[in-house]
Amino acid sequence: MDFHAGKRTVRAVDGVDLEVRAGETLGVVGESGSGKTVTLLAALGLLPPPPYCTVTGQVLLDGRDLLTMGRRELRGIRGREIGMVFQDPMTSLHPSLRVVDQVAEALLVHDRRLSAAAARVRSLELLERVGVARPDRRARDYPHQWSGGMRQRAMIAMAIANAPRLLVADEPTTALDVTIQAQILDVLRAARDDVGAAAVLITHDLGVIAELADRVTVMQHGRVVERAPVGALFARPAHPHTVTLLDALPRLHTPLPPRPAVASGEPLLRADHLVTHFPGQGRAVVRAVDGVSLTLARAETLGLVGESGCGKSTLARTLVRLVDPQGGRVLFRGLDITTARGRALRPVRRALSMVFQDPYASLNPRMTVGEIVAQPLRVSGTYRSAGGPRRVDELLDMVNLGPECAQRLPHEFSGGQRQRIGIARALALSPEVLVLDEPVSSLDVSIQAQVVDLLGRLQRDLGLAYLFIAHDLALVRQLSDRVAVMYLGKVVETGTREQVYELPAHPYTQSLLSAVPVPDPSHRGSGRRVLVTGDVPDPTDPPSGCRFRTRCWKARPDCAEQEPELVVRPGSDHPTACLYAETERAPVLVEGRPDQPR
Amino acid sequence: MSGTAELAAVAPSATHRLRRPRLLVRAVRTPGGAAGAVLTLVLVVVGVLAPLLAPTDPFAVDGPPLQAPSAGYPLGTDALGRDLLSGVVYGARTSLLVAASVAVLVVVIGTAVGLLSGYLGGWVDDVLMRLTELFQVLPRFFLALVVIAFFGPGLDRLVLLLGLTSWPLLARVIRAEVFSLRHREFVEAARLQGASRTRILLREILPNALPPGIALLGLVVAQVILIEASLGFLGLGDPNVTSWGTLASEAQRFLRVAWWLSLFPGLAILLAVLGLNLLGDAVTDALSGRR
Amino acid sequence: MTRRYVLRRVLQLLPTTAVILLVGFLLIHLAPGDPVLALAGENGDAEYYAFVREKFGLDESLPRQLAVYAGNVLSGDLGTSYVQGRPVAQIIAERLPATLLLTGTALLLSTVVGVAVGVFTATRRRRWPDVTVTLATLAMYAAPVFLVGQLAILLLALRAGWFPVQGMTDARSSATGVARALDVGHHLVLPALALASQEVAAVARLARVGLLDELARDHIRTARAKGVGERSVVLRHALRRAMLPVVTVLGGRVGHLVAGAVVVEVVFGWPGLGRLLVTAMQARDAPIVLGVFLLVAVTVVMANLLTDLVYAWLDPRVRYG
Repeated sequence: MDFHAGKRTVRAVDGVDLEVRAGETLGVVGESGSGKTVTLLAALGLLPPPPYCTVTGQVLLDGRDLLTMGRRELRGIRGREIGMVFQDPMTSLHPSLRVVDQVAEALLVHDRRLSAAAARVRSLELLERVGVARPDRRARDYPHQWSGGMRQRAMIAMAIANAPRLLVADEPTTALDVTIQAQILDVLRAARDDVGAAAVLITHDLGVIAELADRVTVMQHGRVVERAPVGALFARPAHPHTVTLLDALPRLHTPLPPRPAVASGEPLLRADHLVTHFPGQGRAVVRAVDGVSLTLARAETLGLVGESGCGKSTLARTLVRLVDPQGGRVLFRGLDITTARGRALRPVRRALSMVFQDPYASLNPRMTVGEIVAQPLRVSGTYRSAGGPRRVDELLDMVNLGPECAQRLPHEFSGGQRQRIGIARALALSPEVLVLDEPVSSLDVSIQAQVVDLLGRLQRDLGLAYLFIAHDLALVRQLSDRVAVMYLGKVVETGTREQVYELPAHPYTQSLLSAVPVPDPSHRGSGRRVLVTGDVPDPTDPPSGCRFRTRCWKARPDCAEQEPELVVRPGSDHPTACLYAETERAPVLVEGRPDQPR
Repeated sequence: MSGTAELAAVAPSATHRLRRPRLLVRAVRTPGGAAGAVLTLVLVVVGVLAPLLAPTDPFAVDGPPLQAPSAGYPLGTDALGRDLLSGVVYGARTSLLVAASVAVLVVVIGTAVGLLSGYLGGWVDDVLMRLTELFQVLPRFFLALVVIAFFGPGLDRLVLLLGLTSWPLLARVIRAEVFSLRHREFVEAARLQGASRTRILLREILPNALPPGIALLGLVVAQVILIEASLGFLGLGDPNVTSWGTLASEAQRFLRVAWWLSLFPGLAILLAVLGLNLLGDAVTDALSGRR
Repeated sequence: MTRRYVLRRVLQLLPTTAVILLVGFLLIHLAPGDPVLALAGENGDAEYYAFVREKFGLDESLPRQLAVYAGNVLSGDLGTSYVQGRPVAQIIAERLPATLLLTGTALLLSTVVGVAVGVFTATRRRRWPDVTVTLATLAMYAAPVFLVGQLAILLLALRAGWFPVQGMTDARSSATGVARALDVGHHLVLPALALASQEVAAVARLARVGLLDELARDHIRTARAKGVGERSVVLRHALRRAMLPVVTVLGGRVGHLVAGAVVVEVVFGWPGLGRLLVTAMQARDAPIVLGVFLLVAVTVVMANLLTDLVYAWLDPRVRYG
C-alpha cells in the first residue's frame, strides 16, 4: 500500500509519499506538527470533509485508490483490511458503551451473519489474547472503569479483530507510563505477528521505532525528509533533521560527561518522612506522598523519577509549600517550614522557586511577558529595588529572549519559548533552589535539548540547586548528580546517578530501566527485558507491606508483612527499599507472573 | 498527539509570530459576527440618537389614524394617528435602556457570585449555588407579571426585577471558568510567590474568567429584550415610554385592518435580538477557537 | 441512579417551594395599599373585609400570617376570586387543561422537530441545506412569539382561511366526542406552532452544537476507523451523549413555554391560564394572579428536578461514579 498525500488551506502535508510492503513495519517519525498523523488520517478518509480539508493524491491499497472509492467500499476496508490504534486510550473508547460491546461491534459491522452472542464470545477471546486478565469477569464494564493500559489493549483487540492486512498505530504508547508502554508494545508486536499484518507505526519516539520498525520515514513540516531501513537510519542518518533528532535524544547507555563535584555540608533543602494525603472519591484518601525523606545540597541536581501517580508532583508542591503536608517535616537551611504560612514563609519564597510542566497553562494568557516575569518582584514588593524594567530585561536575557518580548503576550510564543519565560520568572528573586516539575515533558525532543542546555548553563552560572522531576529516565540521567526513584508515594531507591542507573537494586528500578525502548535497532532481540505485569494499584488502598509486591516477580510472603525501609542493603551500596534487593548489572529476562491475589 | 490536536498545532505554528487580533475583532470577521455587530450597532445608534432620528414625538397625534405605510408615514400610523416610525425609533431607545441597565446588574452580581463561589469553594460555594439555583428556577416572566400586578407598571421596577433574576446563568459560566482556572499552573505560580488571595482573584482569575461571561451577555440581554417586549404586549409596559411591545399590543385589536402595526415593531424586535444573538455566538466561537 | 442522589434532589425542592410561597406572601404585603384590598378587592363591604381579615389573619403578627398563608396554600386553598365569587383553585382547575394541551403539544413538537432539524443541519455542515435552515432557525429564535402568532393569523387564517382565527373551539358548534376533538385540534394548530417556533429554534441550535461537538470526539473517530457506517455512528454512538445539552435545559424550556403560552393565549384567544392571568390582572383580581403564579412556579421547579434526574440517568459516569 502506498500513499501520496495532499493539502489543506494551511498546508499540513505537502507531497508526501509513503510505502508499506506486505509483512513489513514502516515507522513514520517526526516531531509535533510534522504532519505524520494528518497524513494517515487523510489516507484513511478520517479527516473532516471539504471545505475543511482537501486531500489530493492517491492512496493505493493493492492498487485500489482509497480516496476515490465509494463510501460503502471504504467502510468495508476500515476495520477489516486496515485496523487502527489511536493514541489516547482515555478518549478513544466510547464512554457510554460497554467495552466488550465495542470490541464486538468491530466484528459485527463487517460480518452480517454473526450473531450478537457469538460476537461477544469472540470479543472475550480477543481481549484475552491481548492480555486482559479474566475478561469474562469484566464483561459488564464501561471504559472509565479500566486503566489506560487495559483500554489500549482493548483498542488493539478491536484493530485486529478481523485479521487486517495492515495495522496502523498512531502514537499508541505515548500517553502511557513507561512500564505500561513496554507491555503494550509487546502486545502490539505479538498482535502484528499473530495476524501477519504489515504495520505503519507513527511516533515521535525513536526508541519505539528502533524496537518495532523495519523501514523508517522521517517527516518534518509536512514533508518527507528521509527514508531508510531502520538500521541505516540510526547508524548513518543522512538528513540534518534526522541528525538533530538523534543527537538531541537523551540516552540511557552512552557514557556520561562528568559533573562538577558538589559541596558537602548542611543540605539546603530537606524532607523528613513527609506525608501528604488528599481526599479522594467518597471517603477514600489518596496517599500521594507517604513518608518520603530526601536532601538537596547547594548547586546539586537531585533527579526524581517515577511513573504517573507515584506522587512526585505532590512531593514537589509540598516542598515549596503550595500544599500542606499531613506529617513529617520540611526544612530549608535547617529552618522548619513545615507549617509556616504568610510572613514566616517570606524568606523561603525568595529562595525556593518552581518551574511548571505545561507551557500553555503556566503563563497567564492575559498578562504580557514582562508582567509575568516581573510578578514575583511585584508581589514581594521588590520591583523597584531590583531595578524595575532593567531587571526584567536582564532575566529575559538570561534565558536567551530579547527585551522586545516583554511587550508581547504568551500566545505569540512557542512551547519552548514559553518554558523559558517560566524559567525567567522563576529566577526573578535570585533563588537558591529551583524545583522543576516535568519542565520539558511537553516539548519536542529538539526543543527539549535546548531548554536542558539552558538549565545546565544557568546552574553553573548561578549556583542553583535543582530538584528535577521527570518520567524520562534518560533525561534525568543526563542532568542529575543524585537520583531518587518513587513508586506509589514512597522512595524505593536512591543514590548517585551511577549507582542507580548502572547498578539498580530495587526490582522496580530494574524493570523501569529495562522498559525504556532503546533507540538502537541492533539491541532488538538481544534486549532482554524485565516485564512488570498488571497495573499500578489504587493509591487510596495501597498493598500492605512493600507496595510494589503485587507486580514484583521476586515477591515472597514476608513482603506483605513488613514495609521495607530505605536503607543500604547487603547486595548493594546505596539505599533501597526492598527485602531482596540485588544489584544486577544488566536486566535479566524473567517471565512476569500474572496478577496475584492479595 | 491526536490528529485534531496536530491539525491545530500546524496552523498556529505558521502564524503564531504575528500579533493575533483582539477577541472582538476576530469575532467580527466571521459573517455571522459581522452581521450581528452591524445590527447591534444600529440598535445602539438608533437608541442613542432617537430624538434626532425620529420624525416626530411618538406620542403626538400627528396624522390620520390607521393609515398604511406611505411617503409621509413610512411605517404607517396607529389607531390614534401616531407615527409608527417614531414609535419604533423611540422603542429602540427603551429597549437599549433596559438592555444596558440589566446588563450592568447581571454582570456585577453574576461575576461576584461566580468568582466567590468558584474560588472559595466549600460552604460558600454550596450556599451561593443554592441561591443561584433558586433564582434560576424562579419564572422571571411570571414574577414580572405578578410584581407589575401588585406594584403597577414601570421601567425602573422592570429593570430591577430582570436584573435581579437574570444573573444565574452568567454566574454559572463564570464559576465553571474559575474552577478550571483555580488549579491552573499560572495561578499556582502566583500562589507560590506569596500573592494574597484577593490579588490572585482579581489579577489572575478575573481577567481570564470574564470573557466567556461577556460572550454570554449578548444572549442574556437578547432574552431580556424579548421579555420586556412580551410584557409590553400584554399591556403591562410602562405607559410613559414607547416600547416595541406596547406598539404590538395595540396591533392585536386591529390585526385585520392594520398589518403594519404588527409587523414593524415585531420586525424591530427580531432584528435587535438576532443581532445580539449573532454577536454573542460569534464571540463565544472566537473564544473557544482560542482554547 | 443512586437513591441518595434522588433523595437529595427531591429534598432540595422544599426550600425552593418555601421561597416561592414567601415571595407570594411578600408581594401581598409589600404592595402599596392595604393587603385586604389586594385580597378582597375594592368593592367589598366592611363585613366582607372583616371576614377576609380573619381568614388570612391579617391582624396578627407577620410570622403568624405567613404560617396561615402557607397552610392555606398547601391545603389547596388559594383564596377566593372576588370578581367571580368562586374559589381560585376551582377556576384554575377549569382553565388548566387548555393550557396543558397547548404547552404540552408545543413541548413535544419543539423537541421532536428541533432535534430532527439539529441532526439534519449537523450532518450536512456548511452545505446549502445547513446554511438556509440555520438562518431560518436563527430568525425564529429571535422573533417574539406574538409576532409569529400575529403573522400566522394574518397569513394562514385571515388571508388563506385554512385555520380559525381565535379560540379553542368553534363557539357555534355543539359537537362532542371525536368531532369535538378534531375541532379542538384544528384550533390548536396555529397557537401550538406559534408557541413552538421559538423553542424549535432553541432546541435545534442546542442539538446541532451538541452533535457537532460529539462528532468531533476521539471515540467517534475510533468508530469510523472500525468501519461503522455513518448512520450508525450518528445514531448509536453520538446521539445519546449529544442530546445531553438538550435534556439539561428541559426545565428552563418549560419555563419559557409557559411564559410564551400567556402571550399566545392572548393572541389567539385561547381559553387557558394565560388568558385568565391577564384578565385577572386587568380586573385587579389578586387571588387569581397569585394562584396562577404559585402553580406555575412550582411546576417549573418540578420540571427542573425531573431534568436533573433524567440527566443523571443518561450519563453512566454520574451513575457509576
